[in-house]
Amino acid sequence: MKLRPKLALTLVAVVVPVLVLFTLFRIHGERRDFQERIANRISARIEARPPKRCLRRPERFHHRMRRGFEVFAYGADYRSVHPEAPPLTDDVVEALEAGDDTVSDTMWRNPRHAGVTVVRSPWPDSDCALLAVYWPERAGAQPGRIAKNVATQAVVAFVVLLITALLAAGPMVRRIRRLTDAIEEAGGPDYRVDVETDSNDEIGELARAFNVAGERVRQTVDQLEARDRALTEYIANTTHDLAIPLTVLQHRLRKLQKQLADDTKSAELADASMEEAHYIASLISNMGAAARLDRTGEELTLHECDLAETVERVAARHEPLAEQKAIELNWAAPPDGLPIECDSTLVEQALSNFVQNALQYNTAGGHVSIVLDAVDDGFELRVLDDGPGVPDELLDKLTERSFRMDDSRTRQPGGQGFGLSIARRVCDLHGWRLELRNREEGGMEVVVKG
Amino acid sequence: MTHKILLIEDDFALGDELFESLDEEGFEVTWIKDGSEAYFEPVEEFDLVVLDLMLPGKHGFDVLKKYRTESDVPVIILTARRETHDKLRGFELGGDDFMTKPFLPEELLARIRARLRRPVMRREADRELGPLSIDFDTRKVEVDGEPVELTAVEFEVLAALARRPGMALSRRQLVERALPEESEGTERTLDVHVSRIRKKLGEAGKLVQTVWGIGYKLAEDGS
Repeated sequence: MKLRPKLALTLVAVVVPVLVLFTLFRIHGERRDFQERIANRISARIEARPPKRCLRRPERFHHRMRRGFEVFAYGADYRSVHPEAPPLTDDVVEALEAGDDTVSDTMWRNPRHAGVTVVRSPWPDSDCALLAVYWPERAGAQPGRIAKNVATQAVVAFVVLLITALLAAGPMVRRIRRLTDAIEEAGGPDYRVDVETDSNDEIGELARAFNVAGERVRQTVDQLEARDRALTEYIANTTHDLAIPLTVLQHRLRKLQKQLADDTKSAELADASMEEAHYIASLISNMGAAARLDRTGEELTLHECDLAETVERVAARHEPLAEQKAIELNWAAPPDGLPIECDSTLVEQALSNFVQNALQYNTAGGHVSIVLDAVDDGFELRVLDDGPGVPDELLDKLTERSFRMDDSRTRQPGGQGFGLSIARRVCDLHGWRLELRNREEGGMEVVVKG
Repeated sequence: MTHKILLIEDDFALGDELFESLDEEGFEVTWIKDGSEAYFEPVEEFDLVVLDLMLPGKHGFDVLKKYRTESDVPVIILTARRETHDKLRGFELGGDDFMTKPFLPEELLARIRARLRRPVMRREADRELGPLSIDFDTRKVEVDGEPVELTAVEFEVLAALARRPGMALSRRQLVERALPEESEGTERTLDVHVSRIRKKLGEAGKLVQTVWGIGYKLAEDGS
């Protein structure tokens, strides 16, 4: 519920009962005043011209007047000889004893009379020494008489109050909205608002509290980013430092392989070493890519590049390994090239991972093919092999970061899991669709559509 | 003709390996280990430069910038940093190709050969492949001097393959390039066309090779 309706509702809930009570009380009071005024007028008249017939038969004197006012006579002992006359109240008697000439008293909870006004007559020693005018309960109760005015006042007062409250809430609501907008916009790098911070009321306190909290968030984020940067930097440097000796190792192994061509056993050993070196190389490449992908807030570095050329490069890079494993590695790409916008380093890495993966699980005599086709406004890139494939239920999991096949051959995160999860991330970042499926003829097919 | 290659690499072991493999390939290699020394090398004397980026004395980019003011010699940049920024900067400064460490010697040699070959644009000349000869202009195909009658579609398929001997073309590319659009050109019909071509070429038919998972290629030699 918004602030304004809430305020209005609260006002109604609290003010209306109070106002109703207050109004009833006032109506009652006004009525008493009205009755007293009339009674005073009557008593003044009686005082000026006392009814002599009282003296004649005081025990029968009961004067009924218009509007229900009644007059009874009382003796100096404050008692009436008329049997129906109500006794005078203690307050009245007390005031008369004190010497007052005219005494009025309201009577609460009296079913017949709302009050009484007593005056002295010119015959102090008779049974008509005091003349009491009793106010009728219903005088002034006629519809509209007093209640209407009072109730109208109360309603007007309430409406004015409500409008005032809502008007007063207006600027506050606007300020809070402004602050909310500012906070929503402050989600960026600094978590800070500049509005309301100088106000010395609760809204100002809220704005300042937000800035204090924002400062803490910022510090934490800064620390995390610094750590992230340090880690990324470390990985980048490490991959750099590892890459050089590894290149040397690969080159030397290559030479060794050639020299050992005639010595079958040693050649096998060299081949195995070469494969390990290859694997380490793919790990290092992926480590660098992973560090880049994990860097907080890192965007792709998009630029114009030829996907056909990337395919050629990746094929060339894996040709030696394929040859060594006696796997036929083929590729095809549109002869005129296929220019796209992409982060070529990451795309090359992703494609390498697909090819590496296909080669890794294939055996001598197998095939791996990379096919790039121009399709409509985009491209379709496929890497297919006739290796063992992957159980269908594991296909979706294959590109999950933490996934590793439960197989002794797959100790390598560079093969399944790690490499493929990087490839998946690269595809996602480029907005390409990646699909892994088992081919009907056996083996796996990776399809990237962009 | 012996190509002269300028190798700039500060790591001794790696430089030594590169030097040896280039030397073995018959290139005339000059190896420089220092950035500032490389900076003043008369680059116009070389046919190709292999340039490492992280160099003592002067950064590879500075060296490349200087070279580009003097010459258009192809430069292959070696780097171990997997940053696209670096790569873009390298291309901006006039680098021609990139090798990311680690790499195998074959890979570098392949890139070098590709670069040295590149300026010579291959023209769409007649193709002679073993017993097979194709004249693109007159659309005539001969095997051992004997003319072979091919349909228009069959010639297009063969020509598409013959334009890039040794390179595979995917079925989809072949369908798009060679099969007439109005006929329902499917990959099945392509296979039928290819088997007819093979039959018509007779002995030369085995040059049209199936490439697993891709499509077809025309073998560069008779093998």
